Amino acid sequence: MSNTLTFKRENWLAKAFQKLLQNKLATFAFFFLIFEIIIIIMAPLLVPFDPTKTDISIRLAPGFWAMNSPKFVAGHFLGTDHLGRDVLSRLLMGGQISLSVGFVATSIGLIFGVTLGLLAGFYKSLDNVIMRFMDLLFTFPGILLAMLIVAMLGVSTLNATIAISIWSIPGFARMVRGKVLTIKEEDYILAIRSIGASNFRILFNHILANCMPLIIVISTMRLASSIMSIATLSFLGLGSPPPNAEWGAMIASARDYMWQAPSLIIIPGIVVMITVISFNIVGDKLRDILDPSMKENN
Amino acid sequence: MRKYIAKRIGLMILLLIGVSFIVFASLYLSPGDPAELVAGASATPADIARMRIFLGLDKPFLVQYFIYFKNLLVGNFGTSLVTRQPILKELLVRLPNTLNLATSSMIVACVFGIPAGILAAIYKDTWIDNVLTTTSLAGISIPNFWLGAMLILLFSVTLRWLPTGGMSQPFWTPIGFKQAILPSLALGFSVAASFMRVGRSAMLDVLQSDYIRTARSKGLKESKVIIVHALRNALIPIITIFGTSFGGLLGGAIVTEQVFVVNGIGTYLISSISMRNYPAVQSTVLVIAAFFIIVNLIVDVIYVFIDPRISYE
Repeated sequence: MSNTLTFKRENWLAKAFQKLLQNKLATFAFFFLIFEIIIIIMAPLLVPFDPTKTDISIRLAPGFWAMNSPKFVAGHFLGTDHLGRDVLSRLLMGGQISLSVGFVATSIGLIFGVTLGLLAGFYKSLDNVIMRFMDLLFTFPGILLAMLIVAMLGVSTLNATIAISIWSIPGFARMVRGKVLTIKEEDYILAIRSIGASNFRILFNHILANCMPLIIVISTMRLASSIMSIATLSFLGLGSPPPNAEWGAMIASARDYMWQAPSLIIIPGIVVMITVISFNIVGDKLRDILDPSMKENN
Repeated sequence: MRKYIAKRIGLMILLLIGVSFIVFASLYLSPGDPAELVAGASATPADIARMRIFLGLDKPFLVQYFIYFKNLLVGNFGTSLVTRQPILKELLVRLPNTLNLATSSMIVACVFGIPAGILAAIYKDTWIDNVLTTTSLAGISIPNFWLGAMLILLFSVTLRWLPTGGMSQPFWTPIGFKQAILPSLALGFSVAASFMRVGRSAMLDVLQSDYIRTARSKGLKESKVIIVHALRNALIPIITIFGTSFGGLLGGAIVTEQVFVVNGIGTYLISSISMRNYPAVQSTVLVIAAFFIIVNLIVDVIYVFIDPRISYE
């Protein structure tokens, strides 16, 4: 009889995913996001028209809801905007900007934020320096920090991405640091240390691994707010410059035509809202599953 | 307790200095020469060189920062590159409009958010809880500028009940009240949603605690248990996030002001950015951040009186 103990490593991610699928709303939100991401990645192949091609003769054409109207132009399923550009094509191509800015900014925020959080939590000597600097970044409320950065660097999609990335860093750093502080005191870390593991190994192999559930939860929530931020910056004229189709920019330019063509402002807003709400629903559920101790604090 | 408050004030001063440094340094990150901007498009290289000396840009970075900081202390925020007026004066004219919007939105957030959170906790897992929780999830996911536009579309354009904007009067006057309804709903909704979420989880925590069981077991009416005993402790987490929420409102006001055409510091900031009026951008950002820091200090101090445990930590 063999008396070797075998440990079955639990795949927590697969387990969390299974639990996520037990919730109807979260399942729906998750698959909606997958569907949306696929459609938007394939957008260049799918869009019926060039999203920046203007045609004044068919401006402000209504969409499918007014098919019998003489102004309806066949093929323009969601109508056209004030320059005669196809709304559906702009929505799909605009999604490429919103989603890529969201993913890139969240990833950069994650890399820097998590590293700073790990270092601050693990090395007491670095803690004060790093966290006071994070506090400083936190004193710029809302998107003010992002606005300051864009104001100084100039308006472009890249600068908006940089701005949102920097703005995402302190959130990651603060949460990860808190988690590291508790993990550091656990017995198994002492055990690993006593068999001679280096600090680097402890930090990146063991502590980071135990922070992963938390990092996944924050990332999902940050994705939601990054997508909201790029829409907001573009709405203010500080995000993606025209003629780029970006959801926030579409809302901004539709404001002047609210009376004649309310659909122009309603549709992109609904798209932003559904996307953000889906990320939030998935994030909320993941938090309940992965890190129930994480309290509602904002 | 006194030591705690002194420590908080010290931290606030450090943060203010840090913010002024970041704001000052940000100008250095910007491409382009400020002297060239101030001198104008028709300036000769000699003019620009003179302007650089006039603006003190030839001095070392830290010396420049020191001069900038000294000027801030005496209320000299610089001159607008566009109007040549003192920036502080331009900000002070607009600040009341922004505070008017932020305060009325905070009232909306408290009036709707806190009761909603408590109701959701009391009726946990019923349809009331589901409706409120879903609404709050929508609340944090709707872009406030879009919500504002939708409110205008419904109540101003279609129904013609309320004005599309303005906020020229304080919200407690009859005209100002009508003007304030839509902007403060648009801006306050997301804060109401976060108050509701925090209030709900705080109330759920409190309702499970021993002293509530004691209160119930001695036969108190449920309404008395909730209003007299549970509510006071459930409000503590909401006070904690009050400071950050107020900051969020100030940040959000920048956007909402654009939708409802409010002549506040947000509008000033946006127009300054588009006109590359850097000194005005710096000062506006500084004023908003300073406001946020001071509100947080006040919240921290109030907090000690409500929950004295905090000062012993």
